Amino acid sequence: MSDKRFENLVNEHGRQVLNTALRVLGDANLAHDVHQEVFLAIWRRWPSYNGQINWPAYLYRTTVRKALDVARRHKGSGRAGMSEQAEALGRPDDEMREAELQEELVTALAKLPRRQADVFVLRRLEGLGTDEVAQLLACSRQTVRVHLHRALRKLSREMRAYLG
Amino acid sequence: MVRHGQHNKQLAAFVLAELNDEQIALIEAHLAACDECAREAERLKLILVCSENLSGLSVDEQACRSAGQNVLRAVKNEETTLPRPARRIDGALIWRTIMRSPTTKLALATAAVIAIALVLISPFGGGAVTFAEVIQPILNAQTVVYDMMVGEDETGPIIHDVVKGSHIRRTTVGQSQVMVIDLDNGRMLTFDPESKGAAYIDIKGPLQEGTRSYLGLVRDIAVRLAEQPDLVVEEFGRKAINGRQAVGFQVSEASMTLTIWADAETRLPVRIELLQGQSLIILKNIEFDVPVEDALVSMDVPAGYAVADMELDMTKFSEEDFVATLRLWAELLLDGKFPERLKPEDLMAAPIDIEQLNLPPEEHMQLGTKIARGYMFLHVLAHGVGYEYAGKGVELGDAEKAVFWYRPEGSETHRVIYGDLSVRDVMPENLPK
Repeated sequence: MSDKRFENLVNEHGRQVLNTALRVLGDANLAHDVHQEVFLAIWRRWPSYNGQINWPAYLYRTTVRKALDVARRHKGSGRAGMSEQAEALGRPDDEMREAELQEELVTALAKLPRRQADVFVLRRLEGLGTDEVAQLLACSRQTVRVHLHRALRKLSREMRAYLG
Repeated sequence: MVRHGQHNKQLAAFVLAELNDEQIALIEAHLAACDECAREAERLKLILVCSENLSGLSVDEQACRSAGQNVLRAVKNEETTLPRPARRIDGALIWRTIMRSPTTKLALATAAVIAIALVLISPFGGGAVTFAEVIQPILNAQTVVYDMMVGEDETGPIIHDVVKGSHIRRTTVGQSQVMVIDLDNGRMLTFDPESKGAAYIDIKGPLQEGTRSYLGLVRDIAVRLAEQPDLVVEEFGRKAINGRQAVGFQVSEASMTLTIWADAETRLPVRIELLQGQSLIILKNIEFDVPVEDALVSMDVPAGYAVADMELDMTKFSEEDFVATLRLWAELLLDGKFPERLKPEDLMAAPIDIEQLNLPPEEHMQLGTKIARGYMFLHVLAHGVGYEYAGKGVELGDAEKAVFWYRPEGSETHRVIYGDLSVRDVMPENLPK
């Protein structure tokens, strides 16, 4: 594969990677970091690809993983999160509350078992259908449904103190 | 009939709009009457709304272009030595070659697993630790020791297995009873060092579920998966387990997901998770090829034990067994009161100590079997038609209070057990509210 093909990969799929990372992290700067990590990792192993990669599927999986890793590293560490940004911009109270809720959700998401987190992100943040997610994660529809149900209940438990 | 436990479990499906009209109507009726579930439903809805808001986030064109340019700039700046292109291995050819070779079942499984590694659909050429290395000890170890538990929160009973060949010595942490399972012959020896009672049991019917070899299950799955040469095995990432770096692999098919975490240095599996439908089995504290004396997994009754001279039949469990179990639970464990809640795992976690009854060994064993049958009855109900329990705070002997009810399949009436352990058939409209 040539450098040009790598460049095409970045140009064609970069938006997808950025959007996915942004939806998981809610933070444009962190999403940017994930974008760079994902593509640099691919570049470093570029010669070993056999040319038969389903790039959209591969990038979804990799980006979700990396974004959740970043979320775990940043949870509870006073990251420049949504609520701080909202406050800094003088946004109204309801926007700040929404931003706080989103931060809580991302923090709780980072604590989910990996598979549940993958399914929740792909189904709820990326809006993919059950069949699509099942194909991406090489599992059954039923497994996707079970993971999503469990993810929701676990998120509820994690966020109970905040949600009441 | 309103079933709190069942409706609570359906709340996720409810907020995700996955239920039919009839189910929705039942849930909504329940939510109107149950604060706990109503609050949980609200929390779930808030989470869904929040996730929808997050899903609306997207980057603008400028940010996208800028990010792309930054990556390409970083790539140009990186000093990268490009390795030789990896040789592309024809996995299908290797698979056909292996399948033509005459070999034993185990050797074939081992070779097939190596073939899986060669056809991994991974762009990274396998990495430092491979799935084939990780699965080897699971397939080949002569002895294996591990702890098994059910459920993600890992708070349930811990079952400890010592596996040697087709024999398993199984104990449960906190309980004295020992089981030795002979998988080849479908028999089990159970004995209790405290009461010195022993019995042989044929493993059949529902009992097979409780005496399966969990390691054997993982092995069977690995062998079956080996028959799919285009299988996708995902490298799952790394995490610390017991202070050591572990590499994870995950493979899924139909309604099963198998995850194996292996020590990054030794390649030995340290944690195995098997998700089948809604059930998650976890194997941990795993050790391979530890010395196991034959006596430990022998089907011979240890010296000094009284053996029940009848074969105990665990397949014909009944309501009568369950009622007897309830009585013992209330009398012996809770000083004449019924338990606060009644789930099968509660009975496993807090076993009824019939030692206090000072029964002769054979009667002791028979009563233990009755309790085990009572557990089976509850277990089957829990996974079938369901039940309602209202015994919290009820005293044993209170004939006015209903503590437990269920509707047998095909029946118009419910079977209701009262505090004095009488049982009556009751029409649905007359059930306790």
